Amino acid sequence: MKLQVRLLEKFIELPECSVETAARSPLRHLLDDIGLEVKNTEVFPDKGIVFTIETLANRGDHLSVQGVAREISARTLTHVKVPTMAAKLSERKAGIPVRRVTDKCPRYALLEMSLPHEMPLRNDVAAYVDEPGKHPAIVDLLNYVQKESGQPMHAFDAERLDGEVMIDLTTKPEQIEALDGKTYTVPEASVVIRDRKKIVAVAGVIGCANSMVTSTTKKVFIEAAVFDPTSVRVTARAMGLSTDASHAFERGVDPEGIPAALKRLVFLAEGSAGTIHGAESAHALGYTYSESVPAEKRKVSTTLNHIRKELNMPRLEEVEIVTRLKHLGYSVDAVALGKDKQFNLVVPSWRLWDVRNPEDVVEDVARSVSLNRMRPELPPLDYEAPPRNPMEILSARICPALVGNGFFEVITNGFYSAADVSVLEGLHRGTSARHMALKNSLDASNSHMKITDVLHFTKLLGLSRKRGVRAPKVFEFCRLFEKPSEPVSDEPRERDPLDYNYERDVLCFASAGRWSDVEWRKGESLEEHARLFKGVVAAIIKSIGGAFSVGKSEERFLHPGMQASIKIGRNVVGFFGVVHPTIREACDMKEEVFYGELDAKLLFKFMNKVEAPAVSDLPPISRDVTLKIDPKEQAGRVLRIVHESNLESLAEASVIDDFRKQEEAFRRVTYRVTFQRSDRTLKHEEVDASVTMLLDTLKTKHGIEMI
Amino acid sequence: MSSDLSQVHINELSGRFDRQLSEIQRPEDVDLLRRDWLGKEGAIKELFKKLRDVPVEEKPTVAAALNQLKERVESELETKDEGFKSKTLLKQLEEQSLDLSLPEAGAPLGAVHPVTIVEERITTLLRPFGFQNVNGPEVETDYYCFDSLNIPKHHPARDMQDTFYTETGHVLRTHTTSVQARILQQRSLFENKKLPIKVSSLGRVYRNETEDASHTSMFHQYELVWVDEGLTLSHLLGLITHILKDLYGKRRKVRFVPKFYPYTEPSIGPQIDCSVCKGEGCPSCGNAGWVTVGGAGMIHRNVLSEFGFDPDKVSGFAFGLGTSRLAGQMYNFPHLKSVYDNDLRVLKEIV
Repeated sequence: MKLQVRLLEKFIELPECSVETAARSPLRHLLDDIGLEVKNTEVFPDKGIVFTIETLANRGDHLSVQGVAREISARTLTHVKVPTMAAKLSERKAGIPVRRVTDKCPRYALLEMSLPHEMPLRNDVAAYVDEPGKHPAIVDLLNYVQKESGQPMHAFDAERLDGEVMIDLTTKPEQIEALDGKTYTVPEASVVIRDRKKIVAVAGVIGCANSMVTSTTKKVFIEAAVFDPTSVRVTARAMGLSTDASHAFERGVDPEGIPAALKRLVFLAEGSAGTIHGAESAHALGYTYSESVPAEKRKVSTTLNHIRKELNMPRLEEVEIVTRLKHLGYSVDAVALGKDKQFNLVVPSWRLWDVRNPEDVVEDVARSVSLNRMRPELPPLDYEAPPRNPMEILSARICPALVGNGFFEVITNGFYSAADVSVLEGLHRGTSARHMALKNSLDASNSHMKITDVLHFTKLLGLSRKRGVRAPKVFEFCRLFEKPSEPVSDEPRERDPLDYNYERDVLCFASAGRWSDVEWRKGESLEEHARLFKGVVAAIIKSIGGAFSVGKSEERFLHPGMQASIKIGRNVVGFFGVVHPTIREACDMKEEVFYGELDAKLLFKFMNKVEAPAVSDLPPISRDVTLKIDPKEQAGRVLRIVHESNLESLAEASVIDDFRKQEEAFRRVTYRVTFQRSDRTLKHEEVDASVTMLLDTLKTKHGIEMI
Repeated sequence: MSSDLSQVHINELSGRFDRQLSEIQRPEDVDLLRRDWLGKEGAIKELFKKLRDVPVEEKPTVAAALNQLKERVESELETKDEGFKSKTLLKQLEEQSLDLSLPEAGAPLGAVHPVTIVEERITTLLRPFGFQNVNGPEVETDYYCFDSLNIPKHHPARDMQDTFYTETGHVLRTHTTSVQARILQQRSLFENKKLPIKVSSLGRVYRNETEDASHTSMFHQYELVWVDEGLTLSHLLGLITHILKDLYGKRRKVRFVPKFYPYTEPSIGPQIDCSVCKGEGCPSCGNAGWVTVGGAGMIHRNVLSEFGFDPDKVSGFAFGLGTSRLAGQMYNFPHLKSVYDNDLRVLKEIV
């Protein structure tokens, strides 16, 4: 809201605020402190200082100079000056009947006024009107009175209204041409003002061109009303409009403010002749007022001790509280309540929209006293540290493993574009149906929730390479989203920490370029990069106290021949591999990208306590055996067979070489098996017997032979 | 006494050893000399063999003289050995060198994101007060995100948070306050309304905005909630002051301005003095001298009632911080969007 300091000064005595120091003036700080935060300060030659104020969404009463003055008065304890107004409106009824057929308009007044041939705007009004003279003077006057009082009003050309004013609800969408010359569709169930033939205004939003006043208008009907905030808001939104009137009605106007606003209008309109030489007067001819229910006299009670305790101000005087509340418009009845005092308050009509409870009164006192006069008090410390949640535990254990391997944590967006979804759909039909689409995204790149981080990561690594980063490595703990194939109940249930309906926590990690950042060293081959990347998987799993193996994987977004699942025991907890070339191409990434994904819930499930292992000081004995392995066979599967063969005293088995002669149809993979006991030194004959048994098993059960 | 074992003869032998020792030029000759003098057939061994012929009364004197000779020979040979070894080592050290100015190998350390650093710092700060971090869904229902938080449909307060709606009829959470609603409900339905409730929730929130330098459709919030008997507005102010002084420094000034949030009453906006102008007023703080760092308030009685807590007996407060903005301020990111640029050239400097 724009607030002219000169106009405000007409209503209340103000602290110092000079043109030179307006932005840092005591007035500016006072406004900030009472909750009318100044967002901008401007100085104009004609209007003087103008503050742009951020008003609060629940305070319609702040949308007027009088409302701001009232708030200042409660702080400075000076009185708000009441503007001069006409003593009465009119003894006669307005010339046409008013019918209310909806309860979404609790109050409606119609003031009939004659306008002189020429009605120049008074100087004391013109100074505060935006672009004076652009509109007929009566319109400027209505806008000015709204600025003062907060009551929106609308003028109809009396000669263009046919027979009556009816406050009605639309039963179907209807088209109107509004004052701004544009055509709008008014949705069904909107409150509208009609005469006998047509809609003449959309209630609380905008008037229609068919009844608007012009410079030749001789007689007007001034509408001042209270409309249901929700109804106005729904209609204005549907029409794509936000006017000064709708903004005010949505936040709630003073239900008892109509007569005062109209009297002020009549005073300013009729008084023009007295202030401007040769000017004629407007005259009130008739007045009709209709209300559905009398204004509520809402009562709220609180106590002196409650306010003192909340503010931690034990010496705050009763008289100060009462005085401030009265300046805000409350009527206060203070009665003894034992050693305490109870305040029985009647809420001012302009605050009926937001004051309902004792807490609202505490807030008003705190605001008028100043939050910064309160004594902050630290609540007691809790000496028992709470348990950490699963994601905190995982992050604390896994991050060092990733950071130690040169990975940087990044934060990517939770969504991507329809074009991204098409790329994934191209790789696997039906993928787009798994996506949760957003209905109203303003940005086309945010149209779908992501089901994988592979796109964001590939783009990011490509961008990093273009930025000159030689060894980009990234990771992210994030959520992936998926539309359930069957409806999921959102009913409350006792929930595990990582249990959601439409999303899951994952750890994603990726790398591209060379592994080491050092340029003078030769870059790694794809195979070497794969082993280094797998080493990171090992480090992650190790950090949660586990060991992993790899298995077959069919992730559609990865290269079909260069991927593996990550297993802890027999449970698949994730996968890793080389990103599919189609995705790389779509992301404009020329180099191979390694991508891995681990399910956080499963990682947490299989997390183990890390304990010091028992070790033997007795000598180990190793044997190396080279096996014939099919080129398509996974060396790791054979290793798993070795591990699962239950060889006595087997301490370790590992792959130490992988070689293929061009002329041979098989690979030569060398395994080292190491035997050790902690109770006695092993004999070579025992070890040889075990190895022989292993080789027999491999040959007879799995068809794998030694070279 | 045999002339071979007379003191004169022993002295002569000693002299001969000294001469032979002084003639040695190569390390391997030390071993030859050691063999000649201390080996099984060596000169000293031979002398000891003759000791049995020495009269009993002279034996101690002669044995002592022989032992003295043996020890001296051993010691001198050892010294000679050491001399050769140190000369060899010195030569080796002079010849060998390593250019350590060449670049390091291996992957340098990575880093966690600045937003995570800020989150961990706040978590560490809050743990002594007993706040437990909890997670909540990012795809939310209207109920947890708005309705249960005293934000009815069509209320102007919904304008404060432009919302993403999904095709499934859900919303993307616009604030971490939705987690507050879930926690209050969990505690009410499944834990017999056990007090106190002290939780913090952190993570991504979404706003449907057109993105530019200072607007992103996803950012991070950190929110704490405390529900108990006897909590007051002054407790909230005390805790916020403590947190902000710790995060921003003890010398920074803290103030509070009234605000409106539908789910709190009273609502407040904590501010700190502007780090650029030190509170004097500058363009970056809109000449106010103060910068808003979050939102807070006493939990609205309608919210407590919604979940079955009696607002006349129980009170609570909530405080939310924008962790993205905080990270931006701490690490001097030029604007909000740059916090999420994921520029590894920048992130590697914030290790």
